[in-house]
Amino acid sequence: MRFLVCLKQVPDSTVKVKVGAGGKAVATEGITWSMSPYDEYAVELALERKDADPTTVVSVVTVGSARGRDALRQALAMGCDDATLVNAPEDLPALDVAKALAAVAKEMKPDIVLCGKQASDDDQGLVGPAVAEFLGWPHVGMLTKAVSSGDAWELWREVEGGHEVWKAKPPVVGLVHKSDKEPRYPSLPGIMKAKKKEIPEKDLASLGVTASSPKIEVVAMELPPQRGGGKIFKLDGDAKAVAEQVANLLHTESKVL
Amino acid sequence: MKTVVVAERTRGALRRVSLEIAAKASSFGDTEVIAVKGDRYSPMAWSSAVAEKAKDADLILVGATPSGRDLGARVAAKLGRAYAADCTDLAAKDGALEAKRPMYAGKIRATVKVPSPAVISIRPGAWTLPAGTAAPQVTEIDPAADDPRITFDRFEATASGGKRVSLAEARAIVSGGRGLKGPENWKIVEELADALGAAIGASRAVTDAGWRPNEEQVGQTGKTVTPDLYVALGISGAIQHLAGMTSSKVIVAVNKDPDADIFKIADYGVVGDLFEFVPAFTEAVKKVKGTN
Amino acid sequence: MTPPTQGIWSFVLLAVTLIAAAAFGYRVWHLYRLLRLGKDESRLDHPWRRLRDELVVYLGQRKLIKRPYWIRGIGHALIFWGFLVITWGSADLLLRGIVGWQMPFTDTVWYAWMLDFFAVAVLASVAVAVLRRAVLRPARMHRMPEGYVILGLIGFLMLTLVVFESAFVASRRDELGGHFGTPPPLARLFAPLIPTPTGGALFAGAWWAHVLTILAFAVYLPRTKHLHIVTTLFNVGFRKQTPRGQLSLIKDIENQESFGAATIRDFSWKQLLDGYTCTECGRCSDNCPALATGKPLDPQKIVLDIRDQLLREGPKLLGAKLNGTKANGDAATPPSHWVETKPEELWACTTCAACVEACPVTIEHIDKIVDMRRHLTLMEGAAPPESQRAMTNIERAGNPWGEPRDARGDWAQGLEIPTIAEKPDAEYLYFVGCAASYDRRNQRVARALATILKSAGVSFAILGAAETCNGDPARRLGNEYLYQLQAQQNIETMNALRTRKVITSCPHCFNTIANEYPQLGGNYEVTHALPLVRRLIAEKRIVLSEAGAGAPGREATTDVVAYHDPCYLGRHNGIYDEPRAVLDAIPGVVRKEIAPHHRERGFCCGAGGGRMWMEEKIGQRVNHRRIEQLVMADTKATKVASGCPYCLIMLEEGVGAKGIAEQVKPVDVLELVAARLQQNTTQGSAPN
Repeated sequence: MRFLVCLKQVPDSTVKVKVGAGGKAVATEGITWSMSPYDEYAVELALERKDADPTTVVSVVTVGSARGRDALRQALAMGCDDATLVNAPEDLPALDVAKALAAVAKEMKPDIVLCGKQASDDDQGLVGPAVAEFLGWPHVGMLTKAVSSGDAWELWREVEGGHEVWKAKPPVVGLVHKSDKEPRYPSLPGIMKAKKKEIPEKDLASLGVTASSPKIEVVAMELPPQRGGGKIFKLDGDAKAVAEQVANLLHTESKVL
Repeated sequence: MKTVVVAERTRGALRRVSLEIAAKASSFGDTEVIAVKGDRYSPMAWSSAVAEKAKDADLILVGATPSGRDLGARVAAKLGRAYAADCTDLAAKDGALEAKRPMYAGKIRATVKVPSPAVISIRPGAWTLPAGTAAPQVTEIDPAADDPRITFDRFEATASGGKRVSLAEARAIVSGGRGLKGPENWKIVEELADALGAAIGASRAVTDAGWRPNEEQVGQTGKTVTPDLYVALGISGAIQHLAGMTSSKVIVAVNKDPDADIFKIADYGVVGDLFEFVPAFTEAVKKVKGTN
Repeated sequence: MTPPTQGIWSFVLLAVTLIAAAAFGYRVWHLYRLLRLGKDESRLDHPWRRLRDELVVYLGQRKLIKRPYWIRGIGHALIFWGFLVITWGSADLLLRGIVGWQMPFTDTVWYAWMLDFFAVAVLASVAVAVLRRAVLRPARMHRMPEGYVILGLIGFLMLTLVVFESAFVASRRDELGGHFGTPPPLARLFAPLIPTPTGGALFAGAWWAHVLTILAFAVYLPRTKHLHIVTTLFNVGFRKQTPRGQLSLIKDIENQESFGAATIRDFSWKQLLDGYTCTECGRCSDNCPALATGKPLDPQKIVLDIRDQLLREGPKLLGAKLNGTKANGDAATPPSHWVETKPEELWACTTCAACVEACPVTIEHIDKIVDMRRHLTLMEGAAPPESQRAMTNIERAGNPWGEPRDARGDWAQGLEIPTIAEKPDAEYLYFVGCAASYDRRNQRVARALATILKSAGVSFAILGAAETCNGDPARRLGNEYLYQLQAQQNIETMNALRTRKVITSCPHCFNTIANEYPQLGGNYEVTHALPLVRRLIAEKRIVLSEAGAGAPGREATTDVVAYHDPCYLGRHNGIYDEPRAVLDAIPGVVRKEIAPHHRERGFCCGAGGGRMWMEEKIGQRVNHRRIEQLVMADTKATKVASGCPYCLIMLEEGVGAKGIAEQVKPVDVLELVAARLQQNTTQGSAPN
């Protein structure tokens, strides 16, 4: 059994995101980068299968700048077997990233390709389904659990109120959602081994991919209003009026109702 | 601009987000609302059918629900279209589209230029549904043949009997703290959660006291959640709890102590007796949800 | 006294003595070889302190005689001192019996008096000890039969001593005449009861019984926990002389292959010696907050597990060595974790050092527990999942909560507190720590300290976003690697500063920077805020008044304040008096003690040792027990003050859970000081 997990290195979720000088991208000076959280869950899901069956091979791949190496090393430290970096410009359109990943998958012939359900920088969630499309494989979204049963796999897709369990014969693509099993903390020997491990590189040309797909372009970025200037209501008898006011604000102002 | 809206249904009825999109879509030009027959979303069969039907459209709109986003992305890949997910607004501008969408887990609001033709998913609630809007005309299309490599096997309901979403995926969460005074008072939490379609969370004090099960705990040593709406009832806001929920988009806090730290991060704070407020709030939520 | 070993009998005695010596020696040699299975570790630093400890702790029995163990301690000391005096006499008996030589001073009157005094004292202590075991049946004494045998042997030794002394005097009544010269006092008392003719036989019988008992004792001793009589001598002499709060450094960590302790071979010889030394007195367990609240941890069991494992598996390992098979003999020990000590025991420890403080024979419990945690965390990645989240956050954001690194200095906004970059010539660096930087409750403490320092005209600055977690939580969770990365980062930052003086308001920051950073080349003059504030008060650099100056027209109020000792201020660093002195110096504050759980016996809040970052699902929560103790102490306190952000968070949670948040408000001592400053220069820092 072989897994290929597609990763992306993004600004860490603890980073206080700021808009950069041009106003079209976030400031990246001195920030901490890490593997996108859903990708970490994807790695964990694959490694759990490897725990159950040690003959399982888990490969990881990323498409982008050399910074992605750190995400790959993190995955190796967690226990993945090998890693590949596909060198590409950072503004490569998402569909071309997916084509590159699909090309890598065609070479590696994994049984299951996993992606985080979305990367936590652009939050698009396009690459995973696109990889499946370019491979011509079925995919399952919101994946929280994968159980092998005979020559097929039970893939658990989280939906409101429970899980749909899909039975798939590999190859298949899974788009991984958060689950209760948090990504493992790497052991120190794992970290050290990962540091020394060679990470082969590929380029887009060798995979037959050129930047050709349509892409979306950020024209402006702004921070949401700062927390702390919240509206405070005092209950002095008329609970109903306050309750209606809050409910209306949730609907009209913050649009969450 | 030729526009196709892919509507989504739950238990036969069109979802509210589909109504919202359909009502607004006509402003982009000639619009057709389509829906795939059947009530279980299947990525392969549905995306093929939608792509075939909408291959000439300039704009394909879907709701940014988990299934809608999944479908939209695969259709975009199939047709080689530009794609923007989870948009909060969309306008046509200079022959292209300009969309507003959150990035970086909601820490950034971005405006993006999307070349046409495109596939766009629209966040539920982004466009308000004008009162009295008539239901749209829906073209039913057949799904493509099922892919033999993958089949639906069964449904596994969550412990709460399939009634409630899990904390991890919930878009709204109602959490109770020590201010609720005892497990017997959770009924008002549940009623509010039902009205909001929310999951139920708890502070560590509450799970430690055994009032609520451990898996409901939100916080540093419990679950980290990022819903759109987080309602904190009787929670003072110790850092151990805040660490698990400060990234929520909108926070409503109810506490009798005006100095409680939770108010420092709340978007809407109510100082007072939660036993008075919560039932009234539940009714108010039902009213807002029902009439709008 | 002429021994009854004329002619052949001296050879008999010689033979018996040699056999006993061989049995004793063989056992000791065996135990020594087992000890050498452990890792090397040098314990020869600070020779004079070691000598002092031998005098005070070993000979002086200092760690035995303290509350609440006064009586037992004195009883033990009497038996121990008696043992020393009588052993001198025993050596004398053997020497005289075999070759006719004698030990110095044994013929003197004062030695005779001393011998008899201890014979009586030891007999009395033995009687009390037997009664205690038989009647009170202390729960933690596992080896009752062994205890009775030992006590019986000691008692029998004393009785035979008195009998043969008296019988000797009686048998020589004729030679000595009506008075007995200067025989031992007890003999003088009892000799008249013994008829002269039976005296000789009784003397010989009792003498032989006595001497054979001594030899039997020597054979039996190293096969029992009473070996501690000997091992304590070494265990005290080789005790840790580095600060108690300093864990061992894993040197060159990136190039090591295994970390922490998974098998007995991974402990140092000193850790193994601790096992030989444990007397199973149970004082560590008596004082352990984890055990007291129903957790699976029992510090005594941790030590005994190591000893039992060593005695059981050590011989196999030695055998493997002899047979020339792979010397480490890994096959004999469970590969990942050993049978006796379960991970949940290890994770229950708060590293509060109550066990270390209580142990009369200087056993080092925490170091073993952290060594085993290191194995779990670094080798197996098996730390509790919630704590892994804290570690990931420290790694990526520099704080365990995962708050933005950039926001670290935000608490100081608008308070005119310079960063050290803005004020490079500041006299002090205030190392704020994560809790005071990010926790809104503890930010008030940081502001209080800033107000005090400004009022005193102390020149200080903070690091702001350049500060990162000191690494204490990671280190105590067994993640030595993450600790070193954090520490090196801070040390690099701080070594580049002009000032070497550091203030902390967090005892964990204090302990780590003061006691542990020197291991990595960070040497600073570190003070916790409370000793500094005490000095500022003494030097009249700040003036306190009952009403303070922050709130005009505010009425003078009296606060009854119970002081809670933070473990890393008190037991780990001996800072008990300064916080109390500060409280006593505040007008309008009446200090109370949470007796008997205060000072050295203070009870942990439950958050140390990385426990802050773990769930506490088993038993009662430690902080809830602490609040119960506060209530039981009946201090009528309206506030409970500490000097630690973790304690503050835990006490806040505790009073809430126990429903007394209205009656008792947890505060930091600094907040009480800031509220009563006469020249309050900065607003916005007034605590409740």
